[in-house]
Amino acid sequence: MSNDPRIPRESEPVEELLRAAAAHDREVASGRDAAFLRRMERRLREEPAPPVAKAPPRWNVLLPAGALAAAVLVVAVFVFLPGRRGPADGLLHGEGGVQLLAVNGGERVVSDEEGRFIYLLGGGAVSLFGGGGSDLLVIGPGRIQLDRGEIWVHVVGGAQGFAVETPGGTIAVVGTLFSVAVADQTIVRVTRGAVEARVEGSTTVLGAGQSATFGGDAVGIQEGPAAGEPPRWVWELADRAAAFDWRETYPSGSPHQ
Amino acid sequence: MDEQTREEIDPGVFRRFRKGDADAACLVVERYHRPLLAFLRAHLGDRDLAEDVAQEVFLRLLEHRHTLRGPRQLASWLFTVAIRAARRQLQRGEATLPEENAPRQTGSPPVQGDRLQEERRLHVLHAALASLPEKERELLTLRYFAGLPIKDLAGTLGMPMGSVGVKIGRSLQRLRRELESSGHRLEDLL
Repeated sequence: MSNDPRIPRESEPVEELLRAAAAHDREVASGRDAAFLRRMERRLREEPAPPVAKAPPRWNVLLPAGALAAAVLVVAVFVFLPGRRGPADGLLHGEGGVQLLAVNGGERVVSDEEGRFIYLLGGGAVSLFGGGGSDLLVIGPGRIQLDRGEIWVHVVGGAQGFAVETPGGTIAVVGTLFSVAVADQTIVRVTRGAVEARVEGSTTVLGAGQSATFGGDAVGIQEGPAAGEPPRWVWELADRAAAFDWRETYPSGSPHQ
Repeated sequence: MDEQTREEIDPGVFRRFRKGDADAACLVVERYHRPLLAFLRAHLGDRDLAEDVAQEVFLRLLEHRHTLRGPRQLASWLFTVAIRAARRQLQRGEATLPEENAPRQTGSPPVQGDRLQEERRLHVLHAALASLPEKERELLTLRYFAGLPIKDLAGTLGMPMGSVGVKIGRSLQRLRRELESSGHRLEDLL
């Protein structure tokens, strides 16, 4: 029987079943687990520890003097501070390689064709993975404007209301993983969850596997081909984002929590 | 079961691990390999694939060891990366569906009597878990197979500690409905 009052009584048999199944799994897999441990130990002793992952190269930061100190201290993150809304008053220019970036509300970020961005927002609730040649502006809390290039947005949770504005319309987050690419038109591809595209006064919800095009000369939202898998670099950046230590950068918590 | 993951690596061992000491790395792997493998087996439904992913996760940990500040971060880091790796496997379709992995009387090695019953129970549970939404499946497998305590669950899944218990309760209720809708009586499975 569960000792947790939040577990409904009718679910206690399910909990018991899970515990029994887990115990059985541990028992039957104990030999394999031991073999796995031996293989790992042999590998760790025979091969030198891999070099630590390279620290990302620094950005060439062009900031007003008042913002410079923050940029030096922080490794990653858009800082969505209340009261920092407004037009761009700073320009961050990215060069090649993967970048972990510090950006304040109201600042614009531009990357060259080889640049790769990771922005962690809201204590990691939203991760933005930017492709090369991106140009975006932090409008304010939970809102960015993508003017050019491609970003992938991964919402872990608790980030309802987050939105990406593009010249053709607005993409509001309902679910989790999607990309927005802006060139002549805006292309949205949803991998998981759902997003809400608001274009010219009409709203369309796109679910997982769907894509849509709007803006440019087109009228309204045109349904596109099935959204494929994210490219490999998105997963690589996702792993880096997962490995990022918020507490090391912000011992007292995220700046926007 | 929580004892599996409550005991943390000694700070001195952790410091040596960060410096690349092989003995310390072995201790870290020894400490976490069982809960990590149990989670991945339950989540992916494939023992071979679970071991491949676990190895990848540990090697990634070695590569990123400098980003961890202390031993308390190890569990959350490992399981966060494991979840992402498992999601990738599931999206690529490389994980075996529980239906394909059902235990049978014939074949090698032979599975008989109570053992077969246990294997069938595990299979039924895996199939029901596989039908849950991703987050709920992750929550239940991390809790019951990996034995993660609430604090590490909250850190790994990025949710407030106060809501973890409630979400476990809801996920259990959904799992019960899934089991019952697939024609299984809990009394027969227990």
